[in-house]
Amino acid sequence: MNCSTFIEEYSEFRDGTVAPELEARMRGHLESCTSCSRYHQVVDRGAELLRSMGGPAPREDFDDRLRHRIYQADLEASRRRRGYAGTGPITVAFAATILLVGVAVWGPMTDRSMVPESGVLPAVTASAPDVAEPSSPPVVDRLLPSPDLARSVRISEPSPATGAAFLSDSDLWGGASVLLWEHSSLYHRSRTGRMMQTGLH
Amino acid sequence: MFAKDLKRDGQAFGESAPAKNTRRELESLSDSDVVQRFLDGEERAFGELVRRYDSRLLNFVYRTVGDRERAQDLVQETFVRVYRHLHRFDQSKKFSTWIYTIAGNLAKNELRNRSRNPLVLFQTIKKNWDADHRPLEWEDESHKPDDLFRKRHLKEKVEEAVQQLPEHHRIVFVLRELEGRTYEEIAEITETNLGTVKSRLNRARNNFAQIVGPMIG
Repeated sequence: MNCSTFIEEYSEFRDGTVAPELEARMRGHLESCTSCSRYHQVVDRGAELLRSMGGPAPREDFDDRLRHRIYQADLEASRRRRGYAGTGPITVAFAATILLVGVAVWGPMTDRSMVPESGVLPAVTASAPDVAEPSSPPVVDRLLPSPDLARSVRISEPSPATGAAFLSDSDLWGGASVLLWEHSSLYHRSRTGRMMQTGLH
Repeated sequence: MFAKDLKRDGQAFGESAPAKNTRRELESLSDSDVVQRFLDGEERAFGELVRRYDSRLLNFVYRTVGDRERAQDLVQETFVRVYRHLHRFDQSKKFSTWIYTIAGNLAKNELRNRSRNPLVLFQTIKKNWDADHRPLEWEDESHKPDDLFRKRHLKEKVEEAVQQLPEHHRIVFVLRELEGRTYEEIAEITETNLGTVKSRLNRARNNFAQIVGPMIG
């Protein structure tokens, strides 16, 4: 056995985990080689010194501090649990609100029947004031599910000065609610349902 | 609650007879039985685990990180983690291996953080200052002052030699030479395989011998 093999196997030899045959060869080398013998002595003595030093003892307040830290950890954990329990309904309500808003906004946009085929909207023509009820109900009336909401939009005669048509105050609110209703997802759902029931597409 | 049950032998003043009996009973149990008692709701069992491991872990962590104050903090953190996660401990494994794994990981993190933010440890400065300025203590009348000084100096050098070892060599060296852990336990604690443990240990011993060789006559 040479010195490099001895050094290579030394660690396991020291721990007594080498095969008996190898151990015998290493012992033989140890007796004959001063360099390897010195190496063994240095490791042995160094480790012994290290063990003799012992380690630091726990500080006097070690237990108190540990107790305090565990108390804090317990407290934090219970707070976290309470926190989760408290925020649960809020989170659910928040998620539901987001979902409703999302449906309200995206619902009409995804409904293909609402998207005009061409990009150009039909022109709106304002007719002369019509006090009498129209002979046929306006389109909105036919489409609305409830007669309460079915109010036609009356448009005033265009102003000679500006040439623009405008809505009167009372009609404005009626019209606005109709418009709101018309663009709501609820309306589209009821309309689609009705169309499906009647076979209209 | 654990808080009132964590009492050391000398501090257990006024301890009631049943409490004393429970403590004695816990002392006689194996680690796994003490763990089971704690999981069954016996809070005193945690105090027993602290008593069994605080000094050993402190020595291990101190030798690994080389800072006494930090070692105290890290050992405390180890116990806090044990307290919080003991219900997740796989009881088919050895408790001592598990607790050493936690402490070892914390020590490794500490060294990693330190290498990212290098600074001169006050502890090191203080230790060196103390060594240079404190008067010689006559520890043993039969020894000459020269011998005492030499011995103290040698111990410090050996301690420094351990600190000079690379981190992954140092941990296996300390676990084997100071803690007497088996290769299998070291592999589990350091989360490496047996071959890696053996080669690291061999290199660590080789490095250690190179450093302390000139000082040891």
